[in-house]
Amino acid sequence: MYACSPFNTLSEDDIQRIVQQIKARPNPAGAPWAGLSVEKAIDSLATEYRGELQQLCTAKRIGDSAASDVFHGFLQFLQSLNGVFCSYSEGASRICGAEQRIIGDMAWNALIYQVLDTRVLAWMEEWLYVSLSCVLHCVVRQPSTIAHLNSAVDSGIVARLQQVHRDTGAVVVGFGNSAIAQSLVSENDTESDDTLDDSDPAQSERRKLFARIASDPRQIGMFVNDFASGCRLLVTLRIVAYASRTLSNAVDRLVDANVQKQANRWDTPCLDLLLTRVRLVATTLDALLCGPATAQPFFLGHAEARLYAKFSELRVSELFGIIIDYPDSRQAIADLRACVVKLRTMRQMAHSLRNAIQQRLLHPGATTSDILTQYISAIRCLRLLDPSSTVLEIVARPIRSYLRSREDTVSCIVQDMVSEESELFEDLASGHGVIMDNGAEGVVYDEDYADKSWEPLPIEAKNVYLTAQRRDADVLSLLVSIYETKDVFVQEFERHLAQRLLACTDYSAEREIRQVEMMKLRFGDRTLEKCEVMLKDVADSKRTDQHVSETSQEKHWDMPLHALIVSRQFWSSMPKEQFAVPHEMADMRNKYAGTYESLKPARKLEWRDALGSVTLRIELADRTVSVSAKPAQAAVLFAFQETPVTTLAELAQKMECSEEFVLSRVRFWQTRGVVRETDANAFEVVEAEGSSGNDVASRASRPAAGLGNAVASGAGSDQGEDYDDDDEGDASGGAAGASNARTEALRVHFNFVEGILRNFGPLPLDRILSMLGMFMPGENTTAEELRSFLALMAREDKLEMAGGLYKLK
Amino acid sequence: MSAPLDAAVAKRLQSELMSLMMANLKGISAFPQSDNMLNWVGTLDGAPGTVYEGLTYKLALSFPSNYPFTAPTITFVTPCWHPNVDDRGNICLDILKEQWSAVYNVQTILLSLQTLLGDANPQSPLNGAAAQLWDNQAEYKRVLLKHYKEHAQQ
Repeated sequence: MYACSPFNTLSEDDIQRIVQQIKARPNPAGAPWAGLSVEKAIDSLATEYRGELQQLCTAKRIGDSAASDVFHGFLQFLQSLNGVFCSYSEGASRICGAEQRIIGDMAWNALIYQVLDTRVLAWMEEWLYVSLSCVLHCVVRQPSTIAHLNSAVDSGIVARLQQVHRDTGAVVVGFGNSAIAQSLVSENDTESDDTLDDSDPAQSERRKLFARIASDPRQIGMFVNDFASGCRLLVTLRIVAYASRTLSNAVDRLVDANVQKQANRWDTPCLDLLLTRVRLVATTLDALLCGPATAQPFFLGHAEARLYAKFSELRVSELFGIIIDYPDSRQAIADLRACVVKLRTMRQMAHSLRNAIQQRLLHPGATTSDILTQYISAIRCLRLLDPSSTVLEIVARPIRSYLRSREDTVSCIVQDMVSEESELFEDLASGHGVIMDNGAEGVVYDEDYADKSWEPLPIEAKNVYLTAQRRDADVLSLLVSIYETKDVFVQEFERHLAQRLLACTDYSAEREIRQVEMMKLRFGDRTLEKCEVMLKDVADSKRTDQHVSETSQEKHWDMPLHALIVSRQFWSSMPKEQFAVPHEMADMRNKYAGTYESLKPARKLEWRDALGSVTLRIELADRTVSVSAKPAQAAVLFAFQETPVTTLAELAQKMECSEEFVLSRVRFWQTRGVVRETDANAFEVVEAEGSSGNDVASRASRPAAGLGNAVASGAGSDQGEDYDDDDEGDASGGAAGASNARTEALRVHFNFVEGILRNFGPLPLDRILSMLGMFMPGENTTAEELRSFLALMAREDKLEMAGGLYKLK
Repeated sequence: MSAPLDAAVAKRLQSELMSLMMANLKGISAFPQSDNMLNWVGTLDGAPGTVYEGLTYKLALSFPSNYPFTAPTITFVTPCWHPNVDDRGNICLDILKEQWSAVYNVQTILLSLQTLLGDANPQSPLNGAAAQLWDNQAEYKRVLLKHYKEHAQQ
């Protein structure tokens, strides 16, 4: 009968033997009843059988087998026992009247209660778990299993399932067996689909058994019948009520195992699939164990609740990774959203994610660009997850304050913003409207009354600082709003633009022009005036350069020099280098400057060597080397051209600068194998590679400037104002010159500034200024004075400034 | 809304601020919030040599409109695990309650609080768990640091 079942350890013969053994006892239906009270008689009977059962449980045969198999045999045995018991009970009721029947039932209940000790319950749990796993295994692989189930269950499983689906509002495409079966199978999980893990050898044994059953429809039919009859036995023997906890434990284990299999599978929708599977299992159990379709389903609600709880637990714990994988993990986000909305655990989720981010992201090991990338993904993910942005607000706060404390945040954002393949660039180009400074933060603007899709803020939003602008803002403006002012971004962009323009050697700035136009869209025209001037300088330089090269051709000059002429006031700080330029270079410069000055009278060029670059072809005894170098490096080489063997002191004297300055330039040539150190601070040109000593050095080397392409910068000295507004040192110097006493008075202020920064964290200049104004009597410091004073304090290492914010060291 | 600020109270707080700023004491600091002279933010470092060494706590100081005749209300904003501080930051300190006197000022209060951190009074606890552990300073420190790490460093 159970030939194909996984639970065939106890043969028919075994059971018959045991039953016979019991029946062979003296029949209590006769005389003994008369003397004893019925309760006592049945009680003693139950005790006796208990001993029998105990014996059965410890029998070697059963003790060796897997728990689920044992339980199935045990059930069959109980069934036989029940038959015997009923006959006793009937005998008793014949003698002592109908009410003894009830006492008999009670005694059976007591017996069952005694028999169901922890070991038997463990068997039962295992049996149900394995059977349900097998059912699921077969259903997923063989659609016909549904038909078998349907016929095995009295009230019809298909009809029940349809009812469940209608109740939950799920759309069922068709109402046939195959439609339900199809909804249980996901396209890409057939290969690894199993509810059991492989680590346990007994489990993998079981898997093989499942596979065998699932491969043959006939065997499925037998297995399903077998399982159904087992369940019916549970009902007949009145075990269900005693063991409901155990039964639901088995269902829980099945749900947990199924959920666990979906770990890290973020690219496919999992929740619906899991739901349909769990519903199938739970409905089957309800039908088998809880009676007719009208009865209250017990397992269905329980299993669904367990599924939602476990699945959301899993995905919440994975949320950090899901965000990293975005947008590949969209499906996981949709699933999680369904769970969280159902369970109302939005806030718990937000806090767990915040902790994960604090532990895994906001530490010194993560680069700023990683943090930014994760923040941007988090913005996009959490917007999907929670359109009200409440979660985002909770999660973003530590990220934002952490980013604010990092020095390179602004430059990272700007780099990202202008690189054309980044997402931020799309935001920049979106024309989403000009970003405002968030001076007005904290003012919640009225919602748009005409907006039909308006929804009230969820209850979770309580206590969460949220403004309407921030809720609707795009990613770029959210990033900009990390800082209190957008000026820091504009300044960083200016620096970035200056770098790019100075690095370009052919006056072509199409890309940069496009970037500036884009920036204007989002940051406003007026804030980018400096950048406009910079672009115009490049265009003007191109024209000037053309003019110079035409003039040179007329006068038959050799003019490999091209200059970028910038208006100093509008460009970020330009480093200066002081050294004597070799006369070849100086000649070229004078000619260039002369032509320029004739073109623009009353203007003078001032060369900035630190920014130029020279392309050199160095012809040595055995090789020719092409190198692109800085003007100072080139100048050192020119010095070697005159004296191939020389010392550091001589070089420094020749170039009219410090020895340290020369040394680092000499090292540049040393690493390229052009120069070598013969003695401490004595150098010579390496004419032939591999040679050593002075024998070759006698030959004069001929390093020659092949193409000198020096980009230099100059300022129109006619423009009067000759101060560099990016260097705060200069500005403070001016202030100090004007009034030393004032600076001393400001020194007293430092205690106040310290008090403010210590209690309120990093702040921008204007906040410090307004606080001083409010709480220091007779205070009338101007912004400029304060700025230079704070710069002075920064130089004294008491403060530092990052991203427009001052903070204490 | 808070009542209009009395000129005398403002003057008193102003001078307290000035003397606090000029004293520039290590480990204690406070400053009014930008909108209201009656609400200050304070910062307290644990005194060296105590279990609270190296930990920093933010305080909220709220002055009554008849200050200094009534004590200010002072609470820990940073969650503080301490026998005399409850989980909402309320502090049990006699000079803030029945022993208040108009001669106290922000500076003395902050100094008292700093002392209280390192020298608790487990006899009148607001936080029973902390009070019980107080005598075992090594274990106390372990729990304290765990609490600080979990709640305060956010």
